[in-house]
Amino acid sequence: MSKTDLSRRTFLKATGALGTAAAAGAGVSFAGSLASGSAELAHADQEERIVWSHCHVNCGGACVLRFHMQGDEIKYVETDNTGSAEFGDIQMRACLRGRSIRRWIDHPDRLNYPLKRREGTKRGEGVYDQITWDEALDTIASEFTRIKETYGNESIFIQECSGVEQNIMMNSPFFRLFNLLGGEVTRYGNYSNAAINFGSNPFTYGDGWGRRSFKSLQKGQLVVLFGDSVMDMRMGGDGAGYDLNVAMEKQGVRVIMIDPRRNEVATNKGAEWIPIRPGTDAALVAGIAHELETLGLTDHDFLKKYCVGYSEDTLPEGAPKNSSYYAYIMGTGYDKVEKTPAWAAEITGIPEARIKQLAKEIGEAKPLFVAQGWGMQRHANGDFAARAVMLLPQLVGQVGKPGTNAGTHEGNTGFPLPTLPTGDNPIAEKFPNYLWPEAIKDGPSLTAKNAGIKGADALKTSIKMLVNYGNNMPAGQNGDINFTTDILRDESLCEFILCYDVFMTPSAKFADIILPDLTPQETYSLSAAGEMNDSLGIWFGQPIREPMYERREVYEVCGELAKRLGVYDEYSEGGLTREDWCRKLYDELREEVDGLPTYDEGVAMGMYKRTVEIDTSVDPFIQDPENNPLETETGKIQVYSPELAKLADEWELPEGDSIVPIPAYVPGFEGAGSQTDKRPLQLFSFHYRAHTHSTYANNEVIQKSASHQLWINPADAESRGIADGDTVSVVTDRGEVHILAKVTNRIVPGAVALPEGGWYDPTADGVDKGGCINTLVSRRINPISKGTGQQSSICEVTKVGA
Amino acid sequence: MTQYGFFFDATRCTGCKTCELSCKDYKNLPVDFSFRHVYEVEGGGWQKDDAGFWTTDSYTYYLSMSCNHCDDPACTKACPTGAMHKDDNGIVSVDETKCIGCGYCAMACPYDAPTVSKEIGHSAKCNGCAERIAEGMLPICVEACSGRALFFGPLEELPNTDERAEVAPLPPASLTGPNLYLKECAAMQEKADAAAKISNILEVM
Amino acid sequence: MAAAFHELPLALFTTLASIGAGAFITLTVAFFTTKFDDEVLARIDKLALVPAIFVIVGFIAAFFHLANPMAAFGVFGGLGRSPMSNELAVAVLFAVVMAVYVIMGLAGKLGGARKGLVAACAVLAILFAVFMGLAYNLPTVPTWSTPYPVVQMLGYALLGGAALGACVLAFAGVLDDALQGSFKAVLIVLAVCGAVISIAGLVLMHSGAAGVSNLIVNGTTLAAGAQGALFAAVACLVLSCACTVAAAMGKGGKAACALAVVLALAGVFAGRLVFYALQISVGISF
Repeated sequence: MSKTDLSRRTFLKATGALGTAAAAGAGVSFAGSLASGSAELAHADQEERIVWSHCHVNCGGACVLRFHMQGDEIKYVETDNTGSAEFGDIQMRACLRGRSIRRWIDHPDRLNYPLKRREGTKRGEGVYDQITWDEALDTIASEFTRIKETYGNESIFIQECSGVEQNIMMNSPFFRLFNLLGGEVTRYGNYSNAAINFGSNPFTYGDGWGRRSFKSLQKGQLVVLFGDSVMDMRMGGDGAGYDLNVAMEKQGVRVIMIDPRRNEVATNKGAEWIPIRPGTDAALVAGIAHELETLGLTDHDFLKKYCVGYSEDTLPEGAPKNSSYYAYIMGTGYDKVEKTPAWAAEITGIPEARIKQLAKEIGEAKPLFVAQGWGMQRHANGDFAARAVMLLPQLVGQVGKPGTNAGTHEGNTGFPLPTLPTGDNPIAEKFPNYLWPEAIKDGPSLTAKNAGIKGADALKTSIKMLVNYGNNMPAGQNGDINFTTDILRDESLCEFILCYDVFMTPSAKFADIILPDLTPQETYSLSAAGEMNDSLGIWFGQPIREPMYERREVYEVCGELAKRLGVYDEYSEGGLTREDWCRKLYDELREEVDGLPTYDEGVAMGMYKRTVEIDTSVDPFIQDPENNPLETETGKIQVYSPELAKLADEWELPEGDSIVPIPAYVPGFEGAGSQTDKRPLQLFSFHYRAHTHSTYANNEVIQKSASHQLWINPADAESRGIADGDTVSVVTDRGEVHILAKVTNRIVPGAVALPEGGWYDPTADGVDKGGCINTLVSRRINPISKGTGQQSSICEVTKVGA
Repeated sequence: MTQYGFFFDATRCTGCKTCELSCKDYKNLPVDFSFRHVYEVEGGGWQKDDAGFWTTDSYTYYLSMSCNHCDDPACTKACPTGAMHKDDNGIVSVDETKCIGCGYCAMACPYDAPTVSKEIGHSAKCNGCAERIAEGMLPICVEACSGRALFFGPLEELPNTDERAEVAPLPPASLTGPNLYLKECAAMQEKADAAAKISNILEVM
Repeated sequence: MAAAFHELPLALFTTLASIGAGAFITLTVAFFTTKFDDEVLARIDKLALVPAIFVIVGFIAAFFHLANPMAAFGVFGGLGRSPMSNELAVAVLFAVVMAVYVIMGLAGKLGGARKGLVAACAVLAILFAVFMGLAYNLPTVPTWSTPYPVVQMLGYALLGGAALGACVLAFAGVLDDALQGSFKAVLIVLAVCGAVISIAGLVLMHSGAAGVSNLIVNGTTLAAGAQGALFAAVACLVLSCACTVAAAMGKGGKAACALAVVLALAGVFAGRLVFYALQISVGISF
């Protein structure tokens, strides 16, 4: 199908074949939509009422939604219209996802009744029978008790709840309930940013020190971003994308975007795009560091005063000779290779001249704002890459000062709204989030030394009961779906799987019992403004209507379980409802924060927002490092981390992996340069506007306007006979996906990219026609954080039917 | 006579398509067609230098557009019944009772604004949210844009009306006098040329 | 070609209407060049229903092309301004005169009004063909905003009309009589002229499309896609012309005439598909 042959009809055929966009509108009667001029009539209706709520599905934002309701019918949705609408002022305007929420909430595929997997069918087949709530709750309570008594509370695990991120409730009711009954094994870290939070920050700054938001940018300054696609990800009116948009226009800041993909900061906004091979950022930093030395632009005074381990003379005690970063770049380090710009050019694919120029620009820029997105740190050895990007502003003394950022993710702020208290968990064991399938398969084989188990030397038992509330991890967001689903299918491993969601997601099909949830808009939802946004607001979400069908919300349902398990009074503190908790937790916030309206005033207003104070201070550590040490072992910024040096000695790592105490470039498993004749292309994923992770990916109306496609450079497409819009097969050692190709200049040659979040939809032959990136990626983890290395894969792409 | 029009500040657009989707929600449009489209335009390419390094002179920009409520609309001239007409405020809209659904407006419009199909039963297009304008509000798309890239109002109230939009993929403005005014982004100003192409055809058709 | 198949009802309408209307041109020539006796005239008048049916079926196809046919009486609102209103006004005028002519003929009441009415039909048929072409003269569609659509439609009416008109006479058993006089020469001229100008209009439009494109549709690609239909159209039109000429030369009789009509239908229809396939906007069109 060539582009010119495409017509509206062939489009429908093409996408229909892939099952991504049904021709007919979901939940929308075509006849009634336009024919009667319904919008006009409905809007004039006297009975229309507005209910305030918000969208919160873990994009990092939480945008305000105003539902125009008529009876139980959602007519349409608007967003924050309070205060000034001027460019630069804040209105928490929802993006295309929030604005399309009506068709998601009213989607015909919503779960309406409790379901039980039909006897005799296997997990994953998706055959369920409707049961009563009583039967569902009795089964869950008895399975909980049986498993707890048989295997101990350490065998019970509650999964992350990305789909219902960010209100006071989330999946906390399950923790609150289980903690009253002996607790459960827990995770640390998450899919998003394990490497930066557990593999980089603690060893560099001690915590997320030095993060500042785009609001703090100074007039005309330079901003260097590594894969930080804030305008793709955080599109709401109070998001980082908006902050940067405003700064680019009003402050006239110059932005350089280093990314394998031309993201939206480098389209209309006009950031300069430096295309880079995926996963080679640390090599670029090394090349720049070398050139800074050549140019005499390295801030040695800063590095001496505030950092350890850049040069030999600042190495911490006990560090071997030639283990400094300087030794590394000058060719006297552990690998004896000089990290010249030419060396970096070969690895990154960025021409040497551009690297030298970039070094000069970085060296001369004051202030300099360097930030990284989270895609980079999800590559193999993302732990090191994240540290390397943090090093870049350190080299030129541009951290902890106005107009700077510590090379980490840009900063954010928010009201410290408490969440439902979950009580004390007597079980101390924690495992890295990404490893839950391994914890099901063989928990005790995961140890502190080989898998980063915390709170114990090893897991006591394997996971036998899995609670999936509001998430699509098992057959969606988790790497290597074919591996994971094989584990889930085996009922002798995890003996009971509960899913509690609003849709029959690919993951839900692996559950034994499925419960139908309300969406957050259908219940009380008190939430602070977007957690990744530099934004102060509280949203007093009220239910848009009474629950429909037999859908029920999580706090009440866990209360029903608590009654069956004999802990209801403690669970509910004497009968508090979800709304009561909103009030109670909000009042706790009011004690912390001055000037907030009362809860009832807030409900009447729908939302409350406040202007953020911009951080233009010099950080106390920069002012006086002796008296304001960082929380690292040395109290300083650690280019060389003594903690990592210790881990390198003590930890057991898989073949080929290593831990280095400096932020060196170490190409990892299926990283750059590992391509073969059979798998000649790098494959990575990115966050796409059409869905937040997998949430909303089944909302056809969004997918029509923002098509889920594999991005491929014309050079790679032409040699494979692939035209824009062709269906292509993407194959790795783990699996195969069929997807439409987007042939575009926006991706670097030699790499292809598939947005994350597609719904796994396997044929009988195991070919995923839902375009889920995790069908293709490996289970390999980062050596320090044990976080995902999902971004590093090598693949081949061919035209289907060629 | 008052003439309403759109102003699109391309320097603020991030291609998010919230304008398009908020319209589809408000107007309750079916999945497979929109009043507003966000065109993704690409041009340039990749070159391999002597040392084997790839460099690119490519560019990408977005253009958000619905009906441009032209001064001299091709659609109203083609329309046999007068259903497609200009209102007092210059908004081009469809009188659904008069429209026979012959499709000539869609054939004539160079901006792909009207859509006619059997299912809809008549021509349908952006009416500038006339019902909201009448109540002193802005069109739903304008109020939806988090980047404040879209403006709508009487021409004298727009940020400026110096240049009617005619950047690729648009035809010369002299043909119909579109009331779409543009602040061009750098990629439009410096690079857009005849080799540009719409790179998101699946999304806008 | 996808766009062309989207417009099948319109292709059918323009095919049937142009050929049906064109038949009245041929009949007019016959009446003005040949003297028929009353019995023969009655047979011709009965068979004149056939071209009328062509026209009516064409109108029905057009009617069902409309998304809202119930409002169809409003189509004259754009008279003078909208080329489509103009086309339909001429179409209705033609249809009314044609209906009067055919009904009076069936009732045997044409008498002295015959020549006047049939001549009016012929003139209106030519106008109708011209206005069918003009309807597509949209300044924003450069491939159509040329003389070619008019030339094509006129050619189809002449060529198809010659075939169908001769066929009516043949089945009325009077073709041989008519061919004795100057009708023969005029019939050949009509067929050949029709073929030449319609084919010229098509080929020129097709080759001209290569120079037109927008950011979505490339004229060269569209023209390549329509090449097969173009060859089919040209071949059928040439063969239809040949059959009519053969019949005019007294060879083949009814069979040649009938074949000419079938080939004309096929050729014109293919030509119309080519036409719709080559719609390229100056701006955005799919």
